[in-house]
Amino acid sequence: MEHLDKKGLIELENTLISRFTGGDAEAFAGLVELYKDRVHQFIICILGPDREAEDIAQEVFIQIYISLGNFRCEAAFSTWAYSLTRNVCRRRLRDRGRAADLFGGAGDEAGHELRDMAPSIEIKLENEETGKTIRAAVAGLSPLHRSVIFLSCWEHFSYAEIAEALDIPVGTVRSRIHNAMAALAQKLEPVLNPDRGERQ
Amino acid sequence: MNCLSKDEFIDYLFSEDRSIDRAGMEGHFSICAGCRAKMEALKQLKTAAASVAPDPLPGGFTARLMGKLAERDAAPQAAAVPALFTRFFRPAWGFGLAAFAVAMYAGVVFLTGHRAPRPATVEALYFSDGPATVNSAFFAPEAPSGHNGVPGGNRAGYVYTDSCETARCGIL
Repeated sequence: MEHLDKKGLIELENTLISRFTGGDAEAFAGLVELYKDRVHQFIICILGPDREAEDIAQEVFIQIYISLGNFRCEAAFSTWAYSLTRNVCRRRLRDRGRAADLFGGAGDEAGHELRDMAPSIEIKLENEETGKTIRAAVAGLSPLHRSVIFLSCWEHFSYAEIAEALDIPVGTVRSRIHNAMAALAQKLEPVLNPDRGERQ
Repeated sequence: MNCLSKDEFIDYLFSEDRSIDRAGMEGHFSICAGCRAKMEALKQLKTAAASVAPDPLPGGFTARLMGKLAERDAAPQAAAVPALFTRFFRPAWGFGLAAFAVAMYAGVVFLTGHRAPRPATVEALYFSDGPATVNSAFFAPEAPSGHNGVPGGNRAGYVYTDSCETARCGIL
């Protein structure tokens, strides 16, 4: 997937939003193209692999379509879109009779301290096998850690943006990132430190 | 500068806050192998996490969505009317209005006595073959209440004479 730089992306989405609110419904298709995979990924971060993820993504974009007229560009569109996605997922969980407190703190235990994970070899990211291992490691994290990693590492969101997207206090974002990275380090231990794994 | 805390490591790699002393941190990394190794490990972890691209949605998602939105826009009236109806005419409000109307009607009937039982008018007919005669006891204005079981004041009498019996015009 092409990853535009943040400034370019904001300019493009603002142009599309202006065209849409000016009556050009086709501009909405452009916004969908920009965000469909990211919204889908965020849904998977929250719910895990879900056969209804595509339906939920449709529901999210319908919500965006309905509410976009009221969107004020004071906040970033991406943050707003992720907040809507979070709410749709929460509602879906409630409909399924599951706890809808997504990021209240459950699942935020640190795997271990970051000091333990100094790598003895470099992760070969171009290696297909390593890519699968990393993806599986991220998938094995809690919804909170998956979401924090997605927003901080992939989306490069600021603390304030992460706080708004996940509906958590700004003051806790730093510790959430730390705990998520520590949990990921623990999952990737065999890749990061194969010697240590053998010694234990 | 002392060794970095875990929050400072996170700030160094993830925060865009310009007030962070990056130069001081980098100076520390140049002299502290432990912090440098930790920072490198964290940076590598971040790069690894950032390499996980979003799972793409199946093809045709946008077209299906836009089709659904077009259908939705094509029937705004049909959707709007029930929405307005349910917003302004909720069943509970209907029951409330009906109960209020019944209460108002009952109140009006009670206050005006419109439906209260009223004594029937007593009619007395007198036939005479001579000049008209009047039963003064019956028509007496001071007749006691309950005379003949009928309260006074609700009486009407007709006196007929021979001359007007056929025409029945002798209304008193």
